[in-house]
Amino acid sequence: MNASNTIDLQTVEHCAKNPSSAKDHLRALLVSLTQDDESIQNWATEALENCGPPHIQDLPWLKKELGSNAADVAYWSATLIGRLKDRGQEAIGNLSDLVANEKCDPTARARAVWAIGELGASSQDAIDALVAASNSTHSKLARAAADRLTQLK
Amino acid sequence: MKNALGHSWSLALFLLMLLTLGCDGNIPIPDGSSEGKSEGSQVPSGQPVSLRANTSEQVVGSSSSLPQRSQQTILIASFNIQAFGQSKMQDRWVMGRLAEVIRQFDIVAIQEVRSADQRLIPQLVDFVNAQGLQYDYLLGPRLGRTSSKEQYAYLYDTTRIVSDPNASYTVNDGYPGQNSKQEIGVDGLPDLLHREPLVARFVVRVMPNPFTFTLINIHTDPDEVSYELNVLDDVYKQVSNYEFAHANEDDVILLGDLNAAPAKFGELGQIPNLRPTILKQATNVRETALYDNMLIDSNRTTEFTGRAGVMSLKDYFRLTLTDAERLSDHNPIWAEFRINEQNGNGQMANQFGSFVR
Repeated sequence: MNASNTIDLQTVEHCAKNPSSAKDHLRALLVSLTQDDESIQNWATEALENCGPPHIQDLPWLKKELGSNAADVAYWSATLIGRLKDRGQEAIGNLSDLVANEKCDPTARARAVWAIGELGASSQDAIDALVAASNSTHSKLARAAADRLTQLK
Repeated sequence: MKNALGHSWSLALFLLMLLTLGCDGNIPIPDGSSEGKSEGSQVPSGQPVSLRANTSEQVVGSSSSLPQRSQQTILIASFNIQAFGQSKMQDRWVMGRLAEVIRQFDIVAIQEVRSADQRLIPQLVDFVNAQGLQYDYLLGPRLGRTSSKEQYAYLYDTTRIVSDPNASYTVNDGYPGQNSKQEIGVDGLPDLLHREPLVARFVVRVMPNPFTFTLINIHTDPDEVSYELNVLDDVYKQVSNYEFAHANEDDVILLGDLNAAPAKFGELGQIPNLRPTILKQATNVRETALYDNMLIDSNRTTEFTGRAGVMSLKDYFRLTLTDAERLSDHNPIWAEFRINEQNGNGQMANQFGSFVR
């Protein structure tokens, strides 16, 4: 993610209070999650919680951010993609990769499981990733994956 | 509880609870002579709400007007102070008005305390007490799955309300709720809720036969609302059972930001006699959606006077929408209760002195 996509406190607070405008600053909001400033981080989280589904044209870069080393960035990328419902199905492979990657944060992986369910996708890749995740030692991830498998079947 | 997939989660998991800090100070034994607050301009009382009606067909039954304060009643409120952190703390205009909101109620359940700085709520209480009042607080642990955590809090007027410092706890659904993202593993409990509710027991400072009650403070995750509402019915049942078994407490009230209108309550809405006090009125400052509510057992909590509503920040302070949203994107919601137990359940009253420090 381009570090130049920064956002000041005033703008991020405006995004939190005006969810529709937050959609135009999603990349900067995700960058904000990695900043040290707690106020910016908190308002960015608030904006992301309430902004609803992203613009469909944001899907390509959101897919890439699923592989972010920053757990919060991966988590929110999965969340935003999940909100696209069936319009986000092209991200199913990327979500499956995140679910299957044991090096990634389990919370982000569990959110990716949630997103797969929201997308309504049942590709073999997705099912394989969910089966593997359902055997995870992380109970939240395992439960989420088992639930989604049941749902898809 | 049964989730959308038909799984049953063990009810017993909610019996494990983490004690949180009780923060009330030295409170004298109540003598029944405490006075209600009289500051602030009050407007005529709100309209009555029928808790026995079918909510799906209910006409608008809540009011923007706060009721006339009475020594025979208390007001309980819930307020999501959107992203309450340093930026609001440093804005004296905002803090002054938030404090005035708090002063309108005897207890306020607060959601979205975001700051890691644990001085935030004590500083808000200082603002509230600046006019010589005696509010105190209970503050829960930092909760959430991402780096940005939230805390629940209760602020209450110690001249009218006593809290039991040994009876506040966070419902444990198997996740640390702290910064750790480690797997618990030992007990195998799943992590069901993003922000596990903060439960606290209170008593009205009046003798004899004071109204005693337990509050469950909750803020659901907007992306998993339906799932979490299907967990909250179990939370409510378990807390009710626990409170009844350990304190003979039958008045359990669930309140907070549910991110859903009553028609979307799912399994939470199927608990017999558990009724929302806000039926159709919008609770956000923009007046477009009903997110916040207070759920009361209409058979047990007969102390509810039938009056409940939404306090419009815009109207109360005569603010523009922009300025009102400097305070929060949510309006506070409230409900009124009689100060005495109505069912003759006096055990808590008899125990009253045992937890007053």
